Amino acid sequence: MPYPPAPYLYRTEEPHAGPDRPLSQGDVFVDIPLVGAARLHPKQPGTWVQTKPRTGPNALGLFVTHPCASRSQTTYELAPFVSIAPVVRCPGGWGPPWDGYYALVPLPGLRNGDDYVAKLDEVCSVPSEALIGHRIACLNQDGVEATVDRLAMNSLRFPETPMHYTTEAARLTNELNLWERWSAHYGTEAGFQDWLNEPFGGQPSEDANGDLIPGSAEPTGEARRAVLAWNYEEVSAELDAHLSG
Amino acid sequence: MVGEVVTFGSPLGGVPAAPQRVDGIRVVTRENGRYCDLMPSTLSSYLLPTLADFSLVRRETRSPAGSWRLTADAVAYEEIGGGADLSGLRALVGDVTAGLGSIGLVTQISLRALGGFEAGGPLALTTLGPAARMGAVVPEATIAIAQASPVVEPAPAATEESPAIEPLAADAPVSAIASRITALSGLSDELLAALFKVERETFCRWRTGALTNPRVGNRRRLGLLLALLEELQAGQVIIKDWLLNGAVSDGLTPYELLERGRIDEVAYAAAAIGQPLAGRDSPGWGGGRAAVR
Repeated sequence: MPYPPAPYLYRTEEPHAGPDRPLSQGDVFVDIPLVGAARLHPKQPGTWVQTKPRTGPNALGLFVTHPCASRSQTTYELAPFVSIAPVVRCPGGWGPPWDGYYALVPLPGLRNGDDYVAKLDEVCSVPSEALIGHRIACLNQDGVEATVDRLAMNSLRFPETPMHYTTEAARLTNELNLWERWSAHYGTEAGFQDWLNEPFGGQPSEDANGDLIPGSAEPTGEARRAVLAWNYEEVSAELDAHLSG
Repeated sequence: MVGEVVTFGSPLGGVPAAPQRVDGIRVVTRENGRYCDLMPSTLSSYLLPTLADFSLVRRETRSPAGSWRLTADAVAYEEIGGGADLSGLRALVGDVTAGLGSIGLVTQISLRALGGFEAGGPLALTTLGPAARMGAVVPEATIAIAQASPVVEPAPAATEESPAIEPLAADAPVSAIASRITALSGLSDELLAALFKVERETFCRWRTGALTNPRVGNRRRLGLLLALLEELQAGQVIIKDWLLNGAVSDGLTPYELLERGRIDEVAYAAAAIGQPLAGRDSPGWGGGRAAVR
């Protein structure tokens, strides 16, 4: 799929971008502990040594763990560790339309106008607590979809871009948009997922003039979560009502 | 000045004569050169994003000059300082809307409703076209609008020799999208209207071009449904038959799932047509629909 030229929802030079937005797949962080592959001890043949974690302003990383795997299914808190792909400056000679090099996720203009890439072949585990307050970018819906496509291409060489990627990116982005508003309002992420599991009130009908018919929304028995990709505007309105009530 | 809000008019309306596309807006402070980008988070800018689709600009972009917050139909400027004033805000908002105006429906955000805007202010703006290089800090221009790229030519009309399988242009009019949906799905206006919760006549008017201004949600849903149908077509599926007769989840047909708003399940099933449907992670982080089943 074409890689979007503007894949960011938030992007800042200094952390923490989107302070109320829950951490998720596609986020980029700075100054986090990145651990490289073990290497042979230079003086003790046959002995492997762990590399020292790399930190500081050039220790950048992209959150690649799938949302379902990065959060507890019961508490919705971040898992203790998540997978992070180290982010480095883009190799010379590679740029839009970002063909090939499937092990690299393009991050155009990430810092100071320079292009960066996330290296999927060097993904490492990072404590979630090290990510808090260190985010410099979040991907928008197009960026999430493109990243999912890149992950599939790198791991499977899966050549197609199914609609499933689109709806997943929409669902994830919509959920985070709402969760961010919840967190901004209440000062905590807690409670939102339970609210999202409550029944959806339904989509109101329009008359022949395109005007909404009051009272025409009928619950279908679906949870708000199940209709996020299709009924985002209506679920968002329900959140507005909840927060203002 | 904190919390000052300028409200735009209705974002719905006609399409400009020569629409162009922008991918976002960059706001750069003169004080320290920091910047932030406002990007549409819609599907490939499909169906003309409105202000409601643009990112919130939050505390992380705060600078000595202040910070911006875009909501559904308003722009608020908070903590103004360092020489900025309301006239600067108005100038900025004016240019924002002027830049956005080129993408179509947002044209209807009336500058006139906001009053007279004067050039000059503490911030620099540029709209970001599809080919714009991200991150390049705009020089010290007070306000600059870098024009977007021209709109993509619409797909050629179908002929008997070459059926219309090319995706529609990102800026395709509603009539083209609704017509393509009808052609691909083989469903009646009545059945399609039910998916969008509109009258049969309304969908018919979308299709014929008599109505060009569906609500924001339905514009987005039109894009989603079209993308789904195009994928089904690419898979050489007998679309109408599959929509109405296939059993996908909970004994419901794809059409019934769409009626209930579960397009992600339909898309998941569409990706697996001809194959046994694999078990799927619970949607989202909290266990999915089970809570209300």
